[in-house]
Amino acid sequence: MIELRDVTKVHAGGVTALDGVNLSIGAGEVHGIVGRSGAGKSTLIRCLTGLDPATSGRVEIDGTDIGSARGSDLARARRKIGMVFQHVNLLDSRTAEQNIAHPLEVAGVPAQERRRRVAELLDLVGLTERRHNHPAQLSGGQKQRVGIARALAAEPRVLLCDEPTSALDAATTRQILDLIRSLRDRLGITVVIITHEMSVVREICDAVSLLEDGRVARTGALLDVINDAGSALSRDLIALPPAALDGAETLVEAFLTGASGNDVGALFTALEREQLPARIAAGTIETMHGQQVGRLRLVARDRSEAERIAAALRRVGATAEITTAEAAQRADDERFDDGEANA
Amino acid sequence: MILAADELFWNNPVFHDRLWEATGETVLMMIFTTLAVAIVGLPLGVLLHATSAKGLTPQAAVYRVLGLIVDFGRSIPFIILMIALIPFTRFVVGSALGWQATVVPLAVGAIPFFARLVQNALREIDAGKIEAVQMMGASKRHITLHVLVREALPAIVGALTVTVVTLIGYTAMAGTIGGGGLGALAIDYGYRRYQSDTMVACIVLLVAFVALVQWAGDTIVKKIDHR
Repeated sequence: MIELRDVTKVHAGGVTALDGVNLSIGAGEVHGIVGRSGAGKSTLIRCLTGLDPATSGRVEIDGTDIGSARGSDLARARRKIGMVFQHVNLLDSRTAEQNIAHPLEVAGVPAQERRRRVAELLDLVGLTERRHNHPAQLSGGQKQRVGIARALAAEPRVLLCDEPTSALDAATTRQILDLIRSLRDRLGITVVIITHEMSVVREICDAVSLLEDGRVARTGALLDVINDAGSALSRDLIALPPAALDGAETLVEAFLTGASGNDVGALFTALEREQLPARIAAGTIETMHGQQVGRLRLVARDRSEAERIAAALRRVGATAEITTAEAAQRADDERFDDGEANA
Repeated sequence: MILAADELFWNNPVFHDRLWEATGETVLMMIFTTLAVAIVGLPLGVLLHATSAKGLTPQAAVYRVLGLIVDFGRSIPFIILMIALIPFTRFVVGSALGWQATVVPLAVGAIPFFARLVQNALREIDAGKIEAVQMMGASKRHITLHVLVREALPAIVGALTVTVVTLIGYTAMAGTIGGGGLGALAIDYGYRRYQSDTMVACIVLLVAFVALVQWAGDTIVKKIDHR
């Protein structure tokens, strides 16, 4: 559905924001694009929309080359794309209903058909009773739901979401993500989500791409990326809660995914069975797409003990590596997530 | 000098003969000038914004020329502009005297002022809103009318209110060269003939005008502002 080939973007100041990006996003997929600020996420989405065309390379959405389209061709191509913004960008002078109807007015849909469609969309996002309210009278989550309904109004094939939940609290974020997922399930729409929140990726993405310095450092199905234990993206996705490592010197970092029939609980039984005196500094267990993933950080008394712990964990299928407290701390500091993690 | 003890004080025949007529003239001056300012100043402000670097169709050369003309108009003190425009006024209205003649320099003086205020109001519209509508595949014309002007409308009405209030002050200045209205009455009778009661009546009416215009402007803004 979305194909990027060698997309490069050099800003007016000579800064290379995107440096040969190749990306392929399949129809009906929820694809997350992550990266720290400055990695090129915003530039990438602006290239996808043609708001700020790429310097070179090809950006194709549903068969249309967005990069080379101009004027009315670009306008037509954009009607196949619904866009959800971090700051929603509703018009203050229009009610919820009128904001949702706006893309239909632009596309020249007759008034009667417009009313029918708007009523449908209001129902879809659960805001029928708020239809006459202006954005100033709506909460952040309600505004974003209006924003999503507006993005869907012209029945686009692709929904581009630029940090859709970054301005929302945790409960509202969950509601919005549930809404996006249910829309994908019901409408079969392709969704691209730009985010710096790993929780968003864990919650709803089927696939994820990591941008680093304007390049795609890693891309793949969510489980493949996570099962690639030890990779930076995998660590970021399965983050450990922050915990002080005072006094500890030698650590064992273990990672076990439920792939190929593994049981994450084996991490614990392995330690117990061998009666290893490891202390758990931090741990996290997630379930994604029905598969469990666990990560443990253990404190060992010395190097030889760490070796024995690591060996025991590897026997149950986990990856285990020995590291120092200092190195682990440094790796944690490099996380670009907002620091939230599920214990 | 007519003293306060005079039995005609506050019973001045000027009140019957001239005051209501002058009030009517001031009202007419304000109405016509406001119309001219809105009709010419709004599109001029939109054009200024559109051709500026942040606008939808940046045109550095056009913007510079427009800006120069607008600032030229704004920098001439009104009393001088009024005199300098006399030939032009004669050409447009047929006379340089009376309230009809005053409308011309008033409009010429206020249009650039209002245009700049409109430009400022449009510049305040969040670029994200424009991008959101561009993503719908909207034309520049649609964005200008339905996003920029519509979203900025409360600010534009506020700007028009400020402009009209300023104009009320200018109408009084026009009185010095036979411009008609309350300003002329205050100068002809209140100042030149020392009728302080006429002066007071004119001041009261002018203050009431300003208050009325400000109230009307605020009421409209409140009604259309949904932020």
